[in-house]
Amino acid sequence: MSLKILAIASYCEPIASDGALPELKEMVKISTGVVVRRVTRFVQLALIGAGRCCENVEVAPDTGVYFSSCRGDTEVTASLLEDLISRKELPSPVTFVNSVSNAACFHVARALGLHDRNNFVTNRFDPIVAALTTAYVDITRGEIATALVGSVDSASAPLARHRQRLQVNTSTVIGEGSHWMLVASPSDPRKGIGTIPGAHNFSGWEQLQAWLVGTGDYGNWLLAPGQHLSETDANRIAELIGTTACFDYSRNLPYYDSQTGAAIEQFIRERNEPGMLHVNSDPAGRYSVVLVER
Amino acid sequence: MSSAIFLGSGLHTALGVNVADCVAALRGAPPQPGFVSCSMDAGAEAIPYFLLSGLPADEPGARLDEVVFEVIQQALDAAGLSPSQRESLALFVGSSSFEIAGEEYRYRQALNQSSSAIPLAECGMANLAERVRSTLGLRGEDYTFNTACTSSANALWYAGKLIEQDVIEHALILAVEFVNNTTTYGFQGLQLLSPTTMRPFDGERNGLVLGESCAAMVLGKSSGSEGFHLRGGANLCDTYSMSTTREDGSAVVDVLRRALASSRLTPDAIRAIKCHGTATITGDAAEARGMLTTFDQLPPCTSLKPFVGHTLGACGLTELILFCEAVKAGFLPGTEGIAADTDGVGFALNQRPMPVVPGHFMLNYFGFGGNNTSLIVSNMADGVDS
Repeated sequence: MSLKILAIASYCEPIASDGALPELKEMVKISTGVVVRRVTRFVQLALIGAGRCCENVEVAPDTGVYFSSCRGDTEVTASLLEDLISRKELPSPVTFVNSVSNAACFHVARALGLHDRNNFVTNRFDPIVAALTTAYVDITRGEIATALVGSVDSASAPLARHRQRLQVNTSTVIGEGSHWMLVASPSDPRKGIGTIPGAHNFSGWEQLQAWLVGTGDYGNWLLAPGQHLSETDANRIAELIGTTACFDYSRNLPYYDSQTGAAIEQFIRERNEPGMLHVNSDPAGRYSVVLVER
Repeated sequence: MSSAIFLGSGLHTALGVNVADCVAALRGAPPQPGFVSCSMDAGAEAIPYFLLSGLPADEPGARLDEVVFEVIQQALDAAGLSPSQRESLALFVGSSSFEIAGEEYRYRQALNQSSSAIPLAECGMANLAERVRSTLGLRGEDYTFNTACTSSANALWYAGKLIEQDVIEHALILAVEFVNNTTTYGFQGLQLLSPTTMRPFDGERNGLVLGESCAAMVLGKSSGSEGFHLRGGANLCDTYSMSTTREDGSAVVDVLRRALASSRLTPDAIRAIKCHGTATITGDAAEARGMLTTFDQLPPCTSLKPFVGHTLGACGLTELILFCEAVKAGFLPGTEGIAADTDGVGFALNQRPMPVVPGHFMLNYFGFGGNNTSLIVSNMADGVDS
């Protein structure tokens, strides 16, 4: 079964070299149409991305929310730890409640009037694939008809500390990303802007290789190497599927953890090939694949 | 459709260091909690807490690893998987606080070395999953769930669905919650902690007592036996409030009815209910209203938090293992002296261990962020009259 992509949008901006984080409050209001108070930057980013995604499409109240992030809301969690341990102050109730990762899911659901299932589900090396896989299984089972799937990576001040957490040097341009897509079962009568035939995980190269060889002809598709895929792997996958078209979608992106959503959006908006094969890997040699078809 | 069957479990709570010890303790009355000392500049304070049995609360990082890998081993041993099945296990981790206890310890130590030390130097939502996966050499996919008190219930539910859909063959579900200052002071700031004991649904309830737990379960595809399996479930988001369920109970009704529908059951088919029961004034009242609306006649209800405390993100799997193992042993746990009559919220909890036969059972969980989950488990095959 292929998921129909009804809408896709993002917020993705670099952080200025002086470390000043862009103001988001007004953008939240513009993208969601509501004023959301006393929320963290992480929640604001989720609201902006999700709001933009749903701006021009009807979103049914029984749409499920599937949300992911590599590091979660580091700003609020670090603040809690600094309060308790460094400053020896009690955390405020609002700060504590906002520290649960599904706070962002809650605010997205509330702002968009959604009341169905609501999950923060992630993994270390390709967070949005975890969200997409769980959404896929729920739609396949007929438990929901539409799903709002997203990932958020936020920055926190001071930037030097954020770099330290990301383990990147001062020459790397740091950014924030909030990528969202509204997907539906193929029976949804609305016109889609693309489809996702599947999101798959493989325990090793042999399993990936067998699947690539056995499932279809990707010769005229784009190969989009994920953030953690080595050049060697990218080359042997390209050779295996017979494509010369490599999609370097991250070339103009600032650095943040979860960029797979950016690849999907860029492919939908900017490319003309019939399909894209996004392949990522982790240090253990496992692979994740997202297929996107026009 | 085939269902996901529970192949083996591991558990370490305040009640004991393995499943058998924990379940044996459920035959008695709920124990008194211990205490943790949380110290701030204003002075140290003793807070009731159900700490892990037989394990001092020091050196949090080493403590977590010691317990996690021991409990996983219990589950793997009980499941009896082949080496190749073990290697291909998919991993599902559910927790509220993950490794925050270890991070508090690391940050404190680092500050002693340098005033420029930073918190969360090695942060990552899925770091625990990654460490477990790499230590055990697991090659399957991994998922980390963080939906407050429903985290491990949702982890289990999705593991079951991925098995039913043939996406994975076997799953290891891990639930952890360890004592830490962030959670303790956070709940204290919300004025949700009881200064004494936990009395869910009781007229004299005065808040929750936090608890530690590590639980693990191996799930596989049903082979036609009549062991416990996941029959259905539901998760819905109540956007009424970040920290409170809608007070009229309507959000509870919605998720309970959805879980029953997904299990193709009517309310009268439920043999017993494991309530969430946080012993908070508004939370218990809303849960009770929801249950009394859903069920014309409530089946026997039990609450396990008086035994192990509120283990937050770990309560989903922890309480499911305790409940199912007690039922397998032939009894429904009782909370003698807690919610003994209907004065508190309109229904009473089961008071003493009560004989119970195979059937369909409902387990409910309600979390911050309006995340509500209801699971239906069964140890009776389809087509057998309940």
